[in-house]
Amino acid sequence: MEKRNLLRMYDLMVRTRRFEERCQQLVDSGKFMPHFHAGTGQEALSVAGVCALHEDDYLLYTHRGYGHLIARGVPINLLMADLYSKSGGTNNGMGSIMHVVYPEKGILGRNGVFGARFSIAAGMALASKLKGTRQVVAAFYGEAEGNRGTFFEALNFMTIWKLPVVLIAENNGFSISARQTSIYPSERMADMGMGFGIPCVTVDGNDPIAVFQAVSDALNRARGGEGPSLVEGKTYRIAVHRPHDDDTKYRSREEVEQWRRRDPLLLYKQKLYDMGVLDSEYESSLERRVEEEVSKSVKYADACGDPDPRMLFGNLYYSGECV
Amino acid sequence: MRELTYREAIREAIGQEMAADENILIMGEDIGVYGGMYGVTQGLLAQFKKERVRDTPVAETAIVGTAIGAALAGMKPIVEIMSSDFMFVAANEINNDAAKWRYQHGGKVKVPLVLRAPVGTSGGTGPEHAQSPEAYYLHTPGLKIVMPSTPYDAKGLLISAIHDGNPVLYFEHRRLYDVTGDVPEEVYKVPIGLCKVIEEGSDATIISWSWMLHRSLEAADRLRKEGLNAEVIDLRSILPMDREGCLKSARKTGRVVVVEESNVTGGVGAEISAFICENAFEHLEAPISRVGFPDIPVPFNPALENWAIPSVERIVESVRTVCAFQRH
Repeated sequence: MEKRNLLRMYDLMVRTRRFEERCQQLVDSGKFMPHFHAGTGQEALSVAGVCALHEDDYLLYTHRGYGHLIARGVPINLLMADLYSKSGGTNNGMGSIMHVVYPEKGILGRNGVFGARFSIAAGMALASKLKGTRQVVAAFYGEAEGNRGTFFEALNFMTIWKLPVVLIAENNGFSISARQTSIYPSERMADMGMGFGIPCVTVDGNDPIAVFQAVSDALNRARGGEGPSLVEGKTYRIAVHRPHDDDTKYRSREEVEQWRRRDPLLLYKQKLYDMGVLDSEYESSLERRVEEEVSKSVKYADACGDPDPRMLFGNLYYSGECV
Repeated sequence: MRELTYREAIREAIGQEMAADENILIMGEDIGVYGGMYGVTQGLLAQFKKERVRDTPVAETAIVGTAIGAALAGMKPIVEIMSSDFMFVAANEINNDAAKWRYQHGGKVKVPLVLRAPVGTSGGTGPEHAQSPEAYYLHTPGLKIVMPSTPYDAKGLLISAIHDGNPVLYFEHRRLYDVTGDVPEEVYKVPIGLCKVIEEGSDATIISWSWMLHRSLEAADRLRKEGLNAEVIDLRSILPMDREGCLKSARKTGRVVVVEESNVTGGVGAEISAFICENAFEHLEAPISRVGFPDIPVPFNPALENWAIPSVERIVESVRTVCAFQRH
């Protein structure tokens, strides 16, 4: 990979981490942010997976962590306003962070109930195929979503119709409190796709270069008309499920500490230093820049008001002529 | 004017729209080679490429979800669900995704989706192949629901639905597929959200839709011979509902009977009755009467099924009762 791209992934991982740290501080200080779910520890997977996409590809992001959205280029000001459920975000205060929409970057929204995204991804891919646009749909999902039967129905559609979809499983070890291994037949989420005869690969989800490569391969295959692939990234949710959750009910401190030592941000930073791509000067200027951007996003969101009451009824139906 | 069956009218609407707009596709179980369980899509595969006339696995959740995704990405899918009863399998996709997507994404995207499905009894098919599920969806803001009773409306409402830009549930009645009527060859629209006065009358108002509209018209004929002139309204759209149209007639006659094929409790008739009471109470001369299916599943046995379906006699009797009602 080019140095520029290696650094870009690092930038985005740092931006994601710092953004989420600020969110956590805001929540701790009593800020109303009901759907904040940190993705600490998973940034390599979300960021690198999205970095592999083309400009016009479609993205279905997950609600855990903001790496997908930040990597896709959704301005963090808008994300912070969405987290506040205020106007001024991507959905004008109507969908919180659960329904970020940014059509200019292929984000057509997000389903709120787990499992629906697979067939929605299939449909977007069907549109791409029928229009001949060569756009691929990248659909990230976690343990919970992948447990729905909809996964199989949709994967069947994708396979028999050779739809351009890349499913990216975020195996972060847990579905809230349930261990991945207790709700899947094997420790590989990718095994769930084996019966479809499609590529199902598992990579180290804490290694952005490995993720980028695997997702790129799958995207190329999809763009070439060969149909869907499944890429699983193994990672670990260092963050608790949601703020103030007591995670000692289902995991030990030692386990979390062990994974903190494998924090993808630290590992990647070290790697880039070793490769001579990153130096302390770049790092400190990046941190300063990010700190500034994140602070600005808080100021921006603090200044955002509640949605106009007209929004209560205004957008329930499309009222134009659909030609 | 040229006559078509209700089935042919639906098919013609699909064919004309698909010919005019290559972003329209149809998908569903056995709709291609087989031409649909009720023969509605017969011939469309020959007319259009198989890419746009897509046979699907029996997987309603994925069928509807895929259509939503395609709609979001700029297509205008028409889905056929083999029986409206099977739509419950895709309840999350219909009620949570299609209905709410635009709203909770701040109006930034739209879901132009038509979901066609047969409804109603057809004789001995039992509780999972004969329901009239419109009331379930009436309770879901973000959806639209139409239920044509004539070939003319079948074509015009479907064309409106395709151009609506919102998820529209298009419920076609099994017993109406062979009904014939005047249908213009050209493309035309019947607006969604407008009812139609089929028979004018001054003694009572019968509000109905889909197959029950036909029984209501029969009842009105009989009543006329008795000297009672019932106004018969075809509701046509369940959501949005033409409240003003219903109120206008209710204010005129003061006596209202609602006739529906689905279970009475929590039904569309209950909603109609409630809003007429709320908005035209001072004009009412009698309590509003609801004629519908009892609160039981549709029985398999045809004799029992027939007993439960609102009959012309029951409608006639209900109108007589509301007309005979006197305030003390």
